[in-house]
Amino acid sequence: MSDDERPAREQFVVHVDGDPLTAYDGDTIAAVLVRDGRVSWRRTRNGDRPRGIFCGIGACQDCLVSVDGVRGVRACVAPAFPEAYVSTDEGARGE
Amino acid sequence: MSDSRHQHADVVVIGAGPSGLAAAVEASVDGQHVVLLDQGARVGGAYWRHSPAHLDRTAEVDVHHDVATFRRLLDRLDRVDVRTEHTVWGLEQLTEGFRVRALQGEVSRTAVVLDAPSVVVATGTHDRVTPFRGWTLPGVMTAGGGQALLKGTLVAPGARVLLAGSGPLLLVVADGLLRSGVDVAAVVESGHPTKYAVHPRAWSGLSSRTQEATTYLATLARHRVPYLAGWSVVEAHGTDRVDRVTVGTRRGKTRDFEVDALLVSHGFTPQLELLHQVGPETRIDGDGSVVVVVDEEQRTSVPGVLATGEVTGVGGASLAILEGYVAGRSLSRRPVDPAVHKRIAVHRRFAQAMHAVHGPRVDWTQDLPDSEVVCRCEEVTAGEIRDACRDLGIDDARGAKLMTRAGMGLCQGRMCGRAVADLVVASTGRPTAPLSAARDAYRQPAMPVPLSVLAEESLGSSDAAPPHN
Amino acid sequence: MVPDRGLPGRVWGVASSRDSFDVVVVGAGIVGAFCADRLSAAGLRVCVIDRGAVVSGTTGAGEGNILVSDKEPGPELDLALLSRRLWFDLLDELPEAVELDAKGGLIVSRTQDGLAALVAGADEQQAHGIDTLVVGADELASLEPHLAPGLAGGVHYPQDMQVQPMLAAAHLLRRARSQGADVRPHTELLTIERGPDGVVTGALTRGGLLGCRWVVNAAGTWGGEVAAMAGAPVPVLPRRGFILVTEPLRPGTVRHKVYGADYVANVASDSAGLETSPVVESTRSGTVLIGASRERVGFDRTTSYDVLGRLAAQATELFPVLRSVRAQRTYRGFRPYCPDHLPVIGLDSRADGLVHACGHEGAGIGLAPGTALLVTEAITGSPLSMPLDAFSPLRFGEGA
Repeated sequence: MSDDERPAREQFVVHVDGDPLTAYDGDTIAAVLVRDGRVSWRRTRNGDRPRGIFCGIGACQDCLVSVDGVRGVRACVAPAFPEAYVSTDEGARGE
Repeated sequence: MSDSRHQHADVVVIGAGPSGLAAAVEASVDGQHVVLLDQGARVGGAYWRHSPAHLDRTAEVDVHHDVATFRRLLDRLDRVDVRTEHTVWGLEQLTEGFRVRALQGEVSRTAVVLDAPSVVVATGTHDRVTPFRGWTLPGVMTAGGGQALLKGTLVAPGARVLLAGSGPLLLVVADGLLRSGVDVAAVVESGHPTKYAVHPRAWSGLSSRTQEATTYLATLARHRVPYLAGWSVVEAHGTDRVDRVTVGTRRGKTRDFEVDALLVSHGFTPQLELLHQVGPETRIDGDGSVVVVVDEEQRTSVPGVLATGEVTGVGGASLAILEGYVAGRSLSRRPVDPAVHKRIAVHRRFAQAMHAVHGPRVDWTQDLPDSEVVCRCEEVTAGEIRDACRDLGIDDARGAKLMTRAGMGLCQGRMCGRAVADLVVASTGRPTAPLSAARDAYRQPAMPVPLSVLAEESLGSSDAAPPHN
Repeated sequence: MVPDRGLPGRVWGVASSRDSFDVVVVGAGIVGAFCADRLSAAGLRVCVIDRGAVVSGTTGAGEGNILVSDKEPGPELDLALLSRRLWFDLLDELPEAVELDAKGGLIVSRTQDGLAALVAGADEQQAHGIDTLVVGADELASLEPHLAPGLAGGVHYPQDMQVQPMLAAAHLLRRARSQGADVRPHTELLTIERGPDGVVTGALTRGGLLGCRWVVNAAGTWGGEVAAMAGAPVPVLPRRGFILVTEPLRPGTVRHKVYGADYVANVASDSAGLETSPVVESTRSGTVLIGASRERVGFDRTTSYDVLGRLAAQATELFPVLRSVRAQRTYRGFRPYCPDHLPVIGLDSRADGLVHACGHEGAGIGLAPGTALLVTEAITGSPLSMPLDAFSPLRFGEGA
C-alpha cells in the first residue's frame, strides 16, 4: 500500500535493544520489527539458529522477545505500546 | 484464589474470529451475560485482521473477505462483554458448568478465571506446514502469518514473495499482497485444482466461490505472476534468511526464484487443545485433521460445550459464521431457519471437495532428508525420528516424542505433531490411530502459564457455587 | 514353601516353535526391559508383551530418577544399592544414549529440628553405604544459588542420578532382541494358562497363545490385574502423581534434584488422599521438573488444578526465581504401590511359574536392574544376590 493511500495513524516509539523504532497504532511487536527490516530476532537453544516469525498467530512460539523484562513474549501477538522496552535476547545461551 | 479474579458469566465464547463473533452476538440477544475472549488486541481472529484505519475506509478494498459482514457483527457487539488480550490456557469441567482459565496480557500475564454453564469453543486453526529443506530459515513463514502481518499492520512480509503449498489460501494471500503493491514471484500449488471438476455437486450453490477463484487467478495473470499447479517447494536456500527457493514437479523439473520471503501453507490444523481438556467425541475430517463432532445445534458430546468454525471441520469463514450463528441461537433459545442448515450442508460439501484436492502430498516424507529439522522447538531432525523407529522399536507418535523430544518444546507439538506422525507411519508402515492419540494427548495447560498463577489455584476451593450475574 | 530357586534339572532354550518360549515377560516398561535383557543374556528364550506400545505405562510418566537419598535402611535400600551398581553396567555402554545426569540430590529443611532429623537419618544411611554430606545454611547457596534464603541447611547425596528412562528401556529391549528375545507391543494378555498341576503353561494373548514355563509379571501399575489372571493376587494399586515441566531455563538455575525434608516421610505414609512435597529438579534439556504429589484416586486421569497449584506453590517457595517462570506442560502417571510400599519380587508358590517384578511405586527406574537380576536368579535357580523375603507376594496374607 503506498504512503498516500495509507491513512494517518497514531505513531509512538518502541525501544528495541536500545534503538528507538517507530510504531503505529495497531502494530504488534513483530510488525515493528519486520517493518524495520528484521527477519529474525532470536536464536534457538540447541543449534543457535536464527528465528523470527513463522506461524504469525501465536501458535509456534518462534517469535519470542522480552518486553519490559518479561521473557517469552510472542511478538506476533503482543501489541506494541509506547515506550515498550523490547530485547531480542531470548535464545540459546539465555533463558 | 481471590474473588476479584474469579468471575461468572452465562456464556463464555473462546475465540473472536468469524464464528466466535457470530456466536457471541447471537447469544447476547436475550440479555445473557456473554463474555467473548480472544488473545489478540482486536476481535476478528486470523480472518478479519483489518487495522482500525483500514476498516474505516469506505472503498471496497477487501470485498473478498466480506468486510461488510464484519462491520455488521461489530455493530452488534454492544451487548457482549468483549475481553481482548486474553489467552485461554485451561478449560475445566466442574460438577456444574465450566471454569475457563486465561491470562490477560501477553506481557502482564494476569490470572483471569471465569465460570459459566455454557462455553463455545471457536479457536480456529493455525496453518499446517509439512517440513521441507530449509523451512526453518527466517523469511519462511506460513501464508496465514504473512497475511496477518499485511492485513493487520500493513507490513509486507518481504519485498519479493513466493507462495507455495496447497489450498485456496495461497491465492487469497497472493491477491492481497499484489493489491498492496508487494512483488509476488509465483504461486506454487502442489495439487491439481482441475480435480474440482470431479466434484461438481460440491460447487453447486457456491457460485461465489467459483467467482472468487477466477478473480484471484485473473489478478495473478494481470500481474504476470506464474501459477504453477502440480509443483511444490524443493528447497529454501539462504544463510540466515531465505534468498532463493527451488520448486519442482514430481517428475524432477525444477525452477528457482529469488525471493526474500516464502509463504507456505499445506492446509490447516484445527486447534483442539482446549477441547481435549474436556474430552468430547472427535473424528477425522477429509483433510486428515482431528475435529470435534457437533450436532445440528453445534453442541459437542460434552453437555454445555459447543464448538463452532474450523474446529468442527475446516470449511472457511462463511461456514464458520453460519455455525456461530446457529450456536448463538441455540444458546439464546431461538429457532434457526432450515435454510441456514441447508447453507451449512452446502458449505460442508464444498469443504470436502477442497480436502480431496488439496493438502500435502501423501508421500511428502520421501523428500525430507534425515538432516532436516522436523520439531522446530527442540530441533529434532527427521533422521532422529527415523532412527528411533528403526532402532528403538518406536511405532507411534507418542513413542517418537518420548524418545526424541519431538513435540516437547514450547509449542507442544502444534507445528510438528502431524509431520512426526506421518514420519512414524512412513518408517514403520504401521497406521496411526489418530483419534486415540488425540484423546491421550494430555495437553494441559494449552499455553504456558506462570508458576505464580498456577500457585494461586492451591488456595482455591472446589467447584464454585452456581453462577450468578 | 517353594524354595527361591528354579526346579532342578530343567533344560533351557529348547523352545522351537515361533510361539513357544521359556519366559513371557508381561510389560515393556523399564522393569520388563531389564528382565528381558538379562533373561535373554542368560540363554533363555524370551518374549516381551505389552498391551500398548513399548514404554507406554508409568515408565514414560516419571522423572527417571535413580535415588539412594530417599531410601531408609532396610530391604529397599539394599535393593537400591545393588541396583545402582548394576545401572553402571548399562551406563558404561550407553551413557549418552540414555542421557545420564549424575547431578546428585539435595534435601533441605526449613527448621533446625527438621535439619536435625535429616542429619540423623543421613547418619544411618551413611552407615549403610550411602554417601552423604551435611550442608550448613551458609553453604547451601554454593550448591544451589537460587534457593530461598533462610533455610536451616540440608544433606547432599552425590550418588543420586537421573536417566532418560524411555531411552534406557528402548535400548535394553533392542539389546534383548539382539540376544534372541521377541518383543511384541500391542499384544494384550488375556489370561495365564496353567496345567492340571497348577504349573504355568502359557500366556494367552489377543494375538494367540504363547507357550511358556515362566511368566514375569512386570506390568507395573497393572501388576495386580496380571497376578489375578494366574489366581495369585497381589495388592498393587495406583498412586497418582502430577509433574509440572517448566519452559527451558538458563543452565544452572537449578542444579540438582532438590527436595524438602518431608519427601521421604510422604512416601511411607498410609493416609488416603492427597500428599504433596516439594521437589524441584533440573534436566539436561534445560527444563525444570516439579513434583511431587501422591493420591489414591484409582486411575482418574482428569487434571487436578488444586494439586498443580500446590506443586507450583511449593516449588516457588523453595526457588522464588521460579515465580515468573512458566509451566509449559504437565503430566501425570500412576505409580504402582503396595500397602507396605515395598515391591513384589520373586516366585509365587500359589502359581508355579509366575514370577513377580512389580509394585516399585516411585522407585521403579532405580530398582529395575536389581529386580531383573533377582528375577533371573530365581528362574535359573542361581544363588540370590539378596534375600527376597521382604518382597514376597505372600506377605499380604490370604486373599490379598
